[in-house]
Amino acid sequence: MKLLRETVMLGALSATLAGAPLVAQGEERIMPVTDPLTLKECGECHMAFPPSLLSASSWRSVMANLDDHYGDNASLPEKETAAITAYLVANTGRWGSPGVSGSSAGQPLPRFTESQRFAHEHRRFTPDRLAREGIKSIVDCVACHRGAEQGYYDDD
Amino acid sequence: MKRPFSGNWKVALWRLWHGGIVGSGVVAYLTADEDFFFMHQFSGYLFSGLVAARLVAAVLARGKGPLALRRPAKPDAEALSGRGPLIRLVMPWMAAIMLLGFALAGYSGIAADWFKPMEGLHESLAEAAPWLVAGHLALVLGLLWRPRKGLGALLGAGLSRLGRSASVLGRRMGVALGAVALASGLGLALPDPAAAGSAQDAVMADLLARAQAADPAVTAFDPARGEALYLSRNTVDATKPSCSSCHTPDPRNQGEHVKTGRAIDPMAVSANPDRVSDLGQLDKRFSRDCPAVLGRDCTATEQGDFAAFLLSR
Ligand code: HEC
Ligand code: HEC
Ligand code: HEC
Repeated sequence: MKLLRETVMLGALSATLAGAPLVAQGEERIMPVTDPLTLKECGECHMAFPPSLLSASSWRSVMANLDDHYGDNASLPEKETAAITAYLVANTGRWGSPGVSGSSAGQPLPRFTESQRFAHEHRRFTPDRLAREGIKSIVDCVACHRGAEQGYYDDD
Repeated sequence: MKRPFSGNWKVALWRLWHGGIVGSGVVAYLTADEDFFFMHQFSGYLFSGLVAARLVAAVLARGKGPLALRRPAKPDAEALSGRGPLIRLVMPWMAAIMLLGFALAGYSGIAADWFKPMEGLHESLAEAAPWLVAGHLALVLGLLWRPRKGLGALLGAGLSRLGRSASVLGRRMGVALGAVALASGLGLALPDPAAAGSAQDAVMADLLARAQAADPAVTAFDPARGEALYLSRNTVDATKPSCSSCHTPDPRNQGEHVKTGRAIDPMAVSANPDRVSDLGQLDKRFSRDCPAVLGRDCTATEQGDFAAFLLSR
């Protein structure tokens, strides 16, 4: 069965080829949301943001104020709010946000877009420039990072 | 086993192609999970390119040589009697069905890569692929396998003693199995409208019961009133004066969140079969979107009219 053997070998070769980009990009990956409930409920109005972008206390204050969510109403039943909070808090990571603290009462909600690192990476995108390019907001990650929902941000 | 084709560069090219399509197809199928998106994307494009390359090669071959693809023909009496060369009848059909199935799977994937609402279609088309491959394997083994050594030879000798008719029967069964697998593969690829309809019927019944509880005079919902609500302009929030600000004036189009730019799948059930299929999802969005646009909750009747409007489009 020479034909079969050659087919399998070539199949394996192209599998390796297909895998190469994954290995090359693996390092810059920010783990995307994997929890289905969070993906659904936090992915309706914007991409479901990776948990590692905010600290645990910041996530807690975002989740405690869903009815007044950056000017929108994103409220959810209590059970779902609790489940999503637990997922986000359990998966905060090091990309994190020094410079963004949990907000106490009366303060505006924390934004990872205001963290030093994020602001530095995106310093060239002034509101004017975004408007010129037809991008509604810097939170529309997928407008510039086509692989954002899979965790890839260095592909532009 | 006799080689299906004699060895020359065209055969070598064909083998390379076959290895590539097996490899990229298997990788694309196994990495459909979001976690391996780049692998899926890469292998999917490779796969689609190889399908196209196969068609180009067939055109260039002008009906001659191992790279040609023959036109599927109606079975003639000779082939059906089991005496004629079954392989000449079956192979063109198999190739045509597989290339069609693979082209649908591959190109719907490329479409979904650029236009997200195509994802559902791509998923159901791609689910047909393993069936096509199973049918292909059954056909090829049924048509070409000739046991020569060892256990296979013993079995083969035993079988041949049962007479030629048995081996014809066996091959036909293989072919029939293959054909069934191919056909069910194609069948799987077609969306199932009945399953979609029933979820929406249940949601509409719930909405009607609610509207009647609030106002016993309600007997049915009116899509036209739903459309009027959908298109109405309001003054509560200047950034989102209308439902159509985010959902676009034609509910069959993909919308875009006015603040975040997030793409919103079409609202019309004809363009997005998931709509109006989950009462919880409807309630959640009504409780957010109505106050945001109208400055008040939508009544139960308005909700039903709105849902009827989405169903009518
Ligand atoms: C009803 C729509 C809606 C839903 C649902 C929603 N958001 Fe938001 N979110 C917004 C809007 C609008 C903004 C502000 C965008 C802007 O400022 O450009 C925002 C901003 C954010 C930000 C701040 C981003 C920044 O600027 O740093 C975070 C964090 C966030 N959302 C988390 C969540 C989480 C977690 C969920 C799920 C529980 C969620 N969102 C669900 C509409 C929504
Ligand atoms: C207007 C376009 C634009 C938008 C919108 C945008 N980014 Fe970026 N982002 C960029 C550019 C350009 C870079 C710099 C890329 C580079 O250096 O390779 C960048 C860099 C990054 C990096 C660093 C990547 C690396 O390789 O180090 C991260 C992480 C990132 N963005 C996350 C986000 C997230 C999360 C969002 C949405 C909340 C977002 N971006 C929205 C354009 C954008
Ligand atoms: C600010 C943007 C925005 C506006 C304005 C808006 N919607 Fe929505 N709507 C959304 C988003 C985001 C979703 C959820 C995403 C999705 O389901 O694809 C949604 C989903 C829905 C759904 C869920 C349908 C289903 O079966 O899944 C309904 C119903 C709905 N909207 C009704 C309305 C009505 C009624 C109005 C006007 C009174 C309105 N929307 C205005 C953003 C908006």
